[in-house]
Formats: sequence, C-alpha cells, structure tokens
Amino acid sequence: MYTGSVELFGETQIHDFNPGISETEVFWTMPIPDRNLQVSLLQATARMQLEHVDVQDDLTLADSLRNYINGITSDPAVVSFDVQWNMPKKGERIRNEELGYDGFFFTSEEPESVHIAWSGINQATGFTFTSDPAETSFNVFAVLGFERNGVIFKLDAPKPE
Amino acid sequence: MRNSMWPRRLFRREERSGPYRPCGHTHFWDRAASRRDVLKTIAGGAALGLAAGPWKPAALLAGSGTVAPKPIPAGIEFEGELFHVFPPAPGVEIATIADFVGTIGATAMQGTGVGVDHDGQSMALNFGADMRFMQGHYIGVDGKPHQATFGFI
Repeated sequence: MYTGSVELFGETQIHDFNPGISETEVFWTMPIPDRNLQVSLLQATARMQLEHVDVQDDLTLADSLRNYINGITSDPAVVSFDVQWNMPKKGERIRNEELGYDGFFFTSEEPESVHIAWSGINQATGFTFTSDPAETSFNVFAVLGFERNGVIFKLDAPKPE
Repeated sequence: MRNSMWPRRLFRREERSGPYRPCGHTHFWDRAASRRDVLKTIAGGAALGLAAGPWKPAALLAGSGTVAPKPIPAGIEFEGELFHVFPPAPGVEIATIADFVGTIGATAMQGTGVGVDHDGQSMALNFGADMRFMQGHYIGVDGKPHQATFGFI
C-alpha cells in the first residue's frame, strides 16, 4: 500500500503483505488448494481466489528483503483476494535458452485484462486495507500460459557438439 | 512496456552477454555447500512427514503433504543477496519454482482502496500487487516428481 504513487522502493509505501521466502529460497510462493484456481487456456482465462491466508506485513518491499537477509520476524497478517485474468486470445511460443524455459504465453498490457479485489489486516497493529471494487483495479502487465523450465526444459534441448 | 513497479537495475545480468543471465551472486558458491545440506535436511524431513517445516506460513501447507519445490536459479539482486524471482515483464521467467511444467499466470496490478488504522482513522491508499500462480508438476527438493498448485502473493 502506498500513500502516493505506486513505485518499487517508493518512499510512500507503508505496507507490504507477502508470504515470505521459504527456507528453500522460493520467493513469496506458497502451496494453495487446487480448487482455489481455475484455468482455461482455451478461453485465456483464469481465476485465483483465497480467503484468510496467513501472510506477513513487512511495511515496505525493502524491509521485506532486509528482514529476510537479517532473519527479522515480520508482523503476522492475513489477506483475502480474488483475481481474474481475461486475456486477449493471441499468444506466442517463447523459448529462452539463457534462462532455461519455454512455453506458450498470452501476454497483455491492457488495463482490463486482469482485475483484483482484495483485503488484508496486519494482526500486530490492527491496520486493515480493503481495495475498491475489482473493476476499478487495472493491469500493468500480465501473462497466462503453459511453461516448463529447469531439467524439464532441458529434456529435448539440443546436445552440444 | 516493462512493469514499472520493478526497476531494471535490480536484475541480475552479465554485462557482456546480455540481460538476465542466470548466474548466482558473489557468494553463491560459498553458500552452495550449506544450502545443499539444508535441502538434504528438508528432504529428510519430508520423508518423515515434516514437509510443512520449510514454509512460511505453514498454515495452508499443514497437512497438505506438499513437498517443497526448488527456486529458479536466477533472479534479482538486492544489497548483495540473490532473490530467486523476476518481475512480471516481457522476456523473463515468470515461474518462481524450478524443474516445473504446467500452467502459469502472473499480473502486475494497481488500484485504490481504503486503509484503517487501529484507532479507526481511515485513509485513501493506492496499491500495487504482483500476483501469480503455478499449477502442474515439479521436481521437489526430494528429487521426486510431484503435482501441486502454488500461489505467488
């Protein structure tokens, strides 16, 4: 959350809700029940809904990263959200040898391609946030698709001569 | 257009051969041995039904039986530390877990809302959100294939 413009490491950020980084160094990623995600690549749509998810509030992104580096405990928090992708049905196949992934992706910079409604509470301070209705949110950049990476990407990679 | 929330200066890159080279930071290899030990410990824990241990928060994972995935090898650097993530932007890896195959989604969102302090004082606020999902199969830290759904919040 920002009191001013939304900028990474911006001076006006006052809250940063995230699940933290796992001990295996996976970034802000957590398992969720299969039923809370619906995807149709044929329709180029997806919906992810979760309620009362335990996360943490690091106040700012920089605090979040520094807290991880320094092993500092963050404020406990809870969030609920409903995010829906409705992407333009024009995709492309991408293969990135350098990063080691490929797949078929719908991408969009259209504001209407994704909408989100969400709320959160910092359980330590009592601060709460409720977003305005989903239709008032806007997408900056979005991706929807199918990909493979790592050893699975390498399965059919050209062999060195 | 690049997602304006994530400055390009954060990206780990090698100057000679183009952007986003998947390399570790200065101390990566110094840390590799201990990291392997950690993974080994986690894999052992998973075998004992302790897979929920590595995760924050553990609440959703508890009882789910989800084996921890591995992070993508590359990422961004902040204050000398490598973080295994790229911003949602054209031409970069969206997934945060390695050895993965499946459906993915990501969005960088912005919007508005209302914040309320503990004393009841409300304020109009802006928000930025980086939301993602990964649903499919992956090779876990135990070296075995698994199926799961992950959210990036």
